[in-house]
Amino acid sequence: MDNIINQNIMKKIKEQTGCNAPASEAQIKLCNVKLKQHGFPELPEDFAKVLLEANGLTADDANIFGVGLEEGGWFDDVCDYNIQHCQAPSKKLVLGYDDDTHLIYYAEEKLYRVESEMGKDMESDDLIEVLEYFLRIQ
Amino acid sequence: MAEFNEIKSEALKENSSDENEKRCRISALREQTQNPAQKKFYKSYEIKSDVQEICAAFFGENKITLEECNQQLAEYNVHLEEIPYVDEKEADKDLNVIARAAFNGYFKETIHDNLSKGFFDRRTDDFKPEDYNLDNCAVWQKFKKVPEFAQLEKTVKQGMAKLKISPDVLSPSYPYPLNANDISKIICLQFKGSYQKNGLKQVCIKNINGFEGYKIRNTKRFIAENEEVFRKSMMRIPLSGKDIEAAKATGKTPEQALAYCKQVRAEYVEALINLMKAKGSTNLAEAKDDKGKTLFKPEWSWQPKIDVHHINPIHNCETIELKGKNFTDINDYENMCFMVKEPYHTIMHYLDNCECDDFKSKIKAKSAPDKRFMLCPGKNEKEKDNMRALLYKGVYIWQNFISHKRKENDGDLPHRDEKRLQASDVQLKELQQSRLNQGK
Repeated sequence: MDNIINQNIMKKIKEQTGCNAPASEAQIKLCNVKLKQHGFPELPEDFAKVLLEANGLTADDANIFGVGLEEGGWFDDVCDYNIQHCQAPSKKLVLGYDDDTHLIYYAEEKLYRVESEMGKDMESDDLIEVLEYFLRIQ
Repeated sequence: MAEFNEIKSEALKENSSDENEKRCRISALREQTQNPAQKKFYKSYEIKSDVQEICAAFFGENKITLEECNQQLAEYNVHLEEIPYVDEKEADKDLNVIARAAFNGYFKETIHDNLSKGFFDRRTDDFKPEDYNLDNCAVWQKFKKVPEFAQLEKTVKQGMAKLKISPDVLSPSYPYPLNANDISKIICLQFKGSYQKNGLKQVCIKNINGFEGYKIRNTKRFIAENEEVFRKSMMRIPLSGKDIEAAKATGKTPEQALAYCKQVRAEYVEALINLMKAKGSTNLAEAKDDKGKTLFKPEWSWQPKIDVHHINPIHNCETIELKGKNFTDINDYENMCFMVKEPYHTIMHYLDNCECDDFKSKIKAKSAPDKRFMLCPGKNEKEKDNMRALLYKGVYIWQNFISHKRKENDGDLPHRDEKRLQASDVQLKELQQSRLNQGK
């Protein structure tokens, strides 16, 4: 994968959040196969890149999912969450949740949205910008 | 427990489309309960799955009252209570935005869709902060009810002047009054600081005026008042099978593995208590020491997470206003209890907002009136079973309470108590009108 993640901002995110150990390329590939089998879009490339830095992030009540994780731990698995909570087939993929909001990737539009039942809080095609917002990076 | 297995089993028989499979599961469940050797602690997804099944299955007749229910639940520190029903579509979104900011300690900047037309009513003239009279601004009157937000009046006026927003938007006759997202955005824009990008941001209120937010404040109070009870309760939560297996895999005997896991639990609980005292946080995974090094240990991966639960829901602040209180009381210590995230916090929300469309919340589960901590699973098999029974019982009783209400209202009813709802609607309209009058 190309280096498409701004390392300075990623460093700041890692400093200000709880982050899991990096995921492996194999875990990401396996997750994509599983997602596809269940009718979900594959992980967006920049999100996969973040997973190679931290296989799950958490700040306060906000959680960004990881891959290949067992249920019941401190970080949730993106496949398990979507398979258990979302209808398939789907063109969107939930990548994390906060108290009342979700971080969702809309594959067709290649957009990330932070939204709740009340509506959209923000949207962007820049994952890092969305992560800074979602994880309340100061 | 047997009683509930039976009830559940019967209900499933009546409603199941795949009876055999479900019967087998229920039968297995009963066997486990009756045979101590086979008992196990249920995982959250198993309980969730069962709760969903029960929710789908129970449309039965009323057999038990809320009062009877609470008598039985008292020993578990759990209490179900009826709260006024407010249709979420009718709920005041401004109150939700303000209450969440006060709870989390962050102002949230959101996309343009959420902003009023008034926010974009800009002029070319220069304005001074004193040109803005927020006494006329209805939404500011709501913000002001949070004392720490009232201190930001000057900031809001400065922000409005900087953005050259027309002072006319504050006139009571202006057609597009400012909303809570506008005010949050104005404050965020004032305090984004060195943030270089144009992207949206959530701004930490602590950095503005030292206000940490009610979640942190209440967590610190909780641990200051309940440290020993909390410690003991946490130690009683059953150890994770994964931890025990991992310990055995290192060559430890079962007894050694158990002792080791208890020691790990104790270390985790002490670290958690220290974090709650120091930072008012329960998320150990993000905790760092003074040098920025993470405090979280890999062996804590399966330790129970603690959540803060709003008894009256924060997304519907009118439920507390209809009780004659201020909407800001939603974040009061008295409206919160602390509990283990999985399965309890999740289950509590199943109780008040079931995934079945037909069941809408009028009942909230909370800790017993004099307790702030939801009971943890038992220290022995009997207590664990009691806890499972409680979860089933809570859902069962809640469903029957709804059914009972439905019967009272001639059976063929939508999912909620229409008479009560109509009464609530009248009260709600009066409340909204009184707010408007206050704004004027």
